Amino acid sequence: MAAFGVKLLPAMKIIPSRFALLSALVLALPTVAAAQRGDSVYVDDRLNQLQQSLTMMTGQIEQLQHRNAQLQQQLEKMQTDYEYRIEQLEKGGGGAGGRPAPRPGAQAAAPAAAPSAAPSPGAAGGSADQLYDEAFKKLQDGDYAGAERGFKTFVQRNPQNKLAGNAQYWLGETYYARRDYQNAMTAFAEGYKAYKASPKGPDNLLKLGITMAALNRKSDACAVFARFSQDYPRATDLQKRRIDQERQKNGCG
Amino acid sequence: MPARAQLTIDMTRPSFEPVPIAIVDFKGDSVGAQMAGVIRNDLQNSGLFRVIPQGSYIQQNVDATSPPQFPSWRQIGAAGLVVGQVVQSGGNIKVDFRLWDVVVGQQATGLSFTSQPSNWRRLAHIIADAIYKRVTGEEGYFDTRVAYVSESGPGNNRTKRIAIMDQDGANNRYITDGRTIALTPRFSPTLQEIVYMAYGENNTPPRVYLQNVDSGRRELLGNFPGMSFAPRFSPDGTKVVMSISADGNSDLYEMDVRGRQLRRLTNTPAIDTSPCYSNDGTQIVFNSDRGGAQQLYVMSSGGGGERRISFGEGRYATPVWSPRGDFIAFTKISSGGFGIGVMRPDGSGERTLASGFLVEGPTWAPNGRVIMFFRGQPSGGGRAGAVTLHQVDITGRFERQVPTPTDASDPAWSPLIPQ
Repeated sequence: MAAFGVKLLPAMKIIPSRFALLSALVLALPTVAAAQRGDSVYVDDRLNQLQQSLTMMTGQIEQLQHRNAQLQQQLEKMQTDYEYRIEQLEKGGGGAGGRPAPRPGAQAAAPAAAPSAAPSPGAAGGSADQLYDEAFKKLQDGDYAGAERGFKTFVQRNPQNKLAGNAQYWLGETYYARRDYQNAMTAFAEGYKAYKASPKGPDNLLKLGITMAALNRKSDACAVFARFSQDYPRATDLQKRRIDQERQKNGCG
Repeated sequence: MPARAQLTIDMTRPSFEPVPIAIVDFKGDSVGAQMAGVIRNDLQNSGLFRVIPQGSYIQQNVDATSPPQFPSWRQIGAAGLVVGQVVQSGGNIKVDFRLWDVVVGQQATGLSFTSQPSNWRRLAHIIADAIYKRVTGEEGYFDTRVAYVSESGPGNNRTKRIAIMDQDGANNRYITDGRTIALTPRFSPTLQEIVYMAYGENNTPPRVYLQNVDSGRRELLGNFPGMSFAPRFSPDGTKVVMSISADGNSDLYEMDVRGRQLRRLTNTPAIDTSPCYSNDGTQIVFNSDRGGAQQLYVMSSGGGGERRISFGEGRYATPVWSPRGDFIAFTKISSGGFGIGVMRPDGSGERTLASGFLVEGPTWAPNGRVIMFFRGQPSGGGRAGAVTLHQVDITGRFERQVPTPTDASDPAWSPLIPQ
């Protein structure tokens, strides 16, 4: 081995120093053969080839990462959009187009909206619904700070509204989208505490676990995932499958 | 004429009408008319104002201190009216100015200051900045300077020296004597100081100098063999970042301006070059060919966390981070030619502001709303192609040439001059 080391040294000297470590790893086999022949030109040539292919691969990886990020963004936007549409259908406010028709008189009533009396679901709930819709529109547009303000106001003013659980969940999503996991966790935890029975309850709990995992609190996340089947035995298959995936990903027992 | 012109403008909107404004010659001293001329020129050149010609003014002899006859100014379509007076007092001049909101019939803003008579141009720029700020809500950029490379002589023996002038082209002067080639001036964001690179006699390796623009004091920052661009300052002016090449590739280094300590930031077999700090100093944008073609990357200012942000066709060069932080301007080279473009720091929202045979070297006005760059024409018959300075607003709508006494390239915009 000592003799081999001595022979390798002159070849290494002409290698750009910063590439030395990489070459030691990648080039072990060809350099051994070449160095034993004392053929430094061959090593140099081989290095150039490798450097070229490394450059090409770096470029390709960067492009793929970029494409991947774009697709993910598109997917998330689509998902948010679908969820919104489904929600509108569930609320019964949406027409065939999925967009809620503006309620008559809603605009005129908006500025002086009195939040004290919890608006009953239906026609009289114009201003609360409007606030919710506006916040949701901001979320869809990627205005997370604006959506955060909107959902916060909604929950503060209408804690008993049937959409309060949804608003609390989306509030968490505004933080999650900005990778503010700490605030996202607080919002999802609050949602679980206050609106466990909301239609968004299962999503909220799932997201609480995912956020904890993102904060590297794996055991807390696993505990949350474990509660899911007790709390929401009637969750959708998709939600159950997602919980299983997350449990696996985080190595929950 | 817009039916209801207003004295405010939101320049971020995709379409706006320039604000019609009347500027009366300042009264009291002969320099008053010259000051009004400088203000007219500044505002008109910004592309955001339409200065109404003096010939159409109905009210003559507008008093500098009492309200004008608003209806007569409304009649010629003015949204704003600027009046002022200059009074000599004890070797100084005292300048008062007012901007009247003609639409609502009230004073919009006003200033009063005393200074040496030789400062009249600066006072006019400061007034233009105050008007710009009142109307757009943004800081102005008229009381600034531009350093650039003055070029002259034939294509194969070009003299290149560093020059500096006011933003509007006035007060042009030279910082280097032209005996050796001097390149890439860069302004400190905190002081009226520039760094630039100059070759020694007989093409010895380039040296980087730091020069105070007002005092003329110059010091050597260092000898940097294998350097092709001068360093750029950090936003607080305490550090510079640069690329240094060795062994056929080039890496990024930062240097503490006081202690002259050099620290390596990248270490790749690729060519990493033209680094520039973000407005808050926490990140650096640079270009690198590590992925095969020259693209833009952003990393932490201490090194590490590199990520590619440009993904368009062609090559990207000379990125510069806006002083507002919202955009990165760059030169883009593609099969169609050169372009000056901007993108957000995450790489989204790329658009082209100017394009041509050769357009290069963007630099930001301190308010981050205007970019200056240079255009080059093809050379021929041993003659160098003409190079000229241009400015364009962030929407790309309004471009104009900046006058220089010689051919000019590689501009660097100063921060606002401290008052």
